[in-house]
Amino acid sequence: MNKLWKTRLARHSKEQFKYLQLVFNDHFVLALIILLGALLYGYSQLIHDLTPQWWFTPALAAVLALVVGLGDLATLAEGADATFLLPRTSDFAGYLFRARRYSALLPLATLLLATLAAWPLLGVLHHGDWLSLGLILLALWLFKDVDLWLQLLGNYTLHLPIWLSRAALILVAWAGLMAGIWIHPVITTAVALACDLLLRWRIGDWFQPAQLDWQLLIKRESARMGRIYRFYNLFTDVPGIGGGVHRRKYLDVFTKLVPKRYASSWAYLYVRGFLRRTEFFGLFLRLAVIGAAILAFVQQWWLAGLFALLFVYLVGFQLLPFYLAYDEIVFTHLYPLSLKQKKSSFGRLVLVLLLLMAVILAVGAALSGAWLKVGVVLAAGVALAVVFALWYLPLRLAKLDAR
Amino acid sequence: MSLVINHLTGGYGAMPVIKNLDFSAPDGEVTALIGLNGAGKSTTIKHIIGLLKPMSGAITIGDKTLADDPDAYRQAIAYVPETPVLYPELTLKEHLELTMMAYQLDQDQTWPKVNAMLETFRLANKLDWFPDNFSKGMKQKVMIVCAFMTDAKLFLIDEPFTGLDPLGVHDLLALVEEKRAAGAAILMSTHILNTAEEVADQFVLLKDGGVRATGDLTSLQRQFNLPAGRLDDIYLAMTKEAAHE
Repeated sequence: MNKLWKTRLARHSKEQFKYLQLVFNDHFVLALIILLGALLYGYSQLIHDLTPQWWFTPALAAVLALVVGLGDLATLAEGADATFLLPRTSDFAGYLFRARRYSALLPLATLLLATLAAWPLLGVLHHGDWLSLGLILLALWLFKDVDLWLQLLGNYTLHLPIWLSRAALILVAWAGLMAGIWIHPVITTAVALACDLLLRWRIGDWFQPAQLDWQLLIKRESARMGRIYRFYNLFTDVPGIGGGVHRRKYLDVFTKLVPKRYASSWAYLYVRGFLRRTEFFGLFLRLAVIGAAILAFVQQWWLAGLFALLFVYLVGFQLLPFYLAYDEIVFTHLYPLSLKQKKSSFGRLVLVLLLLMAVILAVGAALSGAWLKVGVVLAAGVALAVVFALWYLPLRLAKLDAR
Repeated sequence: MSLVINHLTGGYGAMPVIKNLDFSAPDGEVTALIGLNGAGKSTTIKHIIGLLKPMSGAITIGDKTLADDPDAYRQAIAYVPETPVLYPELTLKEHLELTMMAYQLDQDQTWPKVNAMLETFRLANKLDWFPDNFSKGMKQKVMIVCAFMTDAKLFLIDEPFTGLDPLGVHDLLALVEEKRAAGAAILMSTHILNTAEEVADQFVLLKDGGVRATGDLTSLQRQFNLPAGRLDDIYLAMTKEAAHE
């Protein structure tokens, strides 16, 4: 079982690494750094002007308690396991224990970051010293340990008392954190330690008669992997996850804009593909709504300009894989159409979409009535749209064609 | 001569699947490409339509190669693949329209022809549907209509008789007959020997990526020493040869 876990983990890590490389490509990292910088700046401004309110403690405790709930047990179980490993069900617990230890890594790091992020707020609430910070982090880690045990037990058919659920744990963590922040963080640590010790003391008794529910285990793991792949699919092509197609007849007004001539054959295809594929159309809508909302709230004109650049860039970048969407279809190679027509049609579609995005962002900015901001957003968005579609895009498409 | 293949060697990776292939498909005739699974039928067709690049040798259609004049070369081919793959976002009507656009067909003149074919294949009431959700046979019919609306000089039909219902096969053969009479070359790969024997004017027998024999039925009967032998018998004789080697 140890060997099985090791080979599974190696294969899993290799695959995740491959996808993460695609997700965090150089451009996206750059965009991310800008966004992170802007967020940190906003956060520091917020902290600066902050005066403590009564609801800070419960709110902060709730956020931290919810972060404890993040991070699922990664069992890496596969559909065939229910058949092939059935005779070794009792040994499989050892495999699951290793899986639980591995699953703890990412959440522990997340909790560390969450604690660091909460540091300034804890300072406002008079617990900004190292000791308090360490005690709270330790408590959060202990809570996560309990949470992962509960998730592991959840794959077994056994009758646990009602208070032994993840929801109950989050509530206890919330209460513990509130008490800790009001009085002293050592209370939180004590509560967490008590939970963990209690669980580890009794777990042998619960485990003894338990039966592994293979179907549930596999269903949970495939749902978890599905969520991860859907996320990757936002950035790159994941086999088997393409999103669907909807007819969207009400959008035919736009498809009619493309004339039915030889020269616009590729445009005919790309426009319909964009409007009817859930993937790219949904992405455009999501980014448009989020971007417009953010720009309605951002106050500084220069920050608004940066966000406009970021969102136009993100849309343009996410549209790139659409260029290759039809390469698997034999017609694409059969039709007497030139590569030049394909490129220019795609380029025009991207240009129109990015200009549209710039206008939507400007409308979002206009909601706040700050006209300087609207002007900056529109100018930045339009400028980047033009540069992206006319200069950057042809370079990228040449790279894609060369593959 | 529409299609001429000269000393074609090619395949997917470094290992050639087809070796030194030589045959041609004359105008106004149906040529049947026959061989066991893995003999190289589909690979040959993929080379002809340009999905695979030859390692050596040349393919010309009406004296043009893909490298010389890709647009004219492609304009001359119509293809019905074995596994139909359609654009998931286009309706049946849009597939037909796009094909007309890409081949620069006059839409007013082509639609009556197309409508008649849709009527024959019982697709006329499905113009606004996504053919991607059709059954395999119906998808194949969509591809047949798309192929046969063109004025191609060469029609490539890969394994046409496996997904179609008997009525569909009959209607397809009628279309093939029409194009043959109009002077087009037709190259058809198949396992269904009875139908091939009825329809084809000449046969190309592939074995292990090479041409084992070509000619009409009488010539094949002579080559395999099987006077009055059916295509079935000749095919079996060829497979036995393989077993002896």
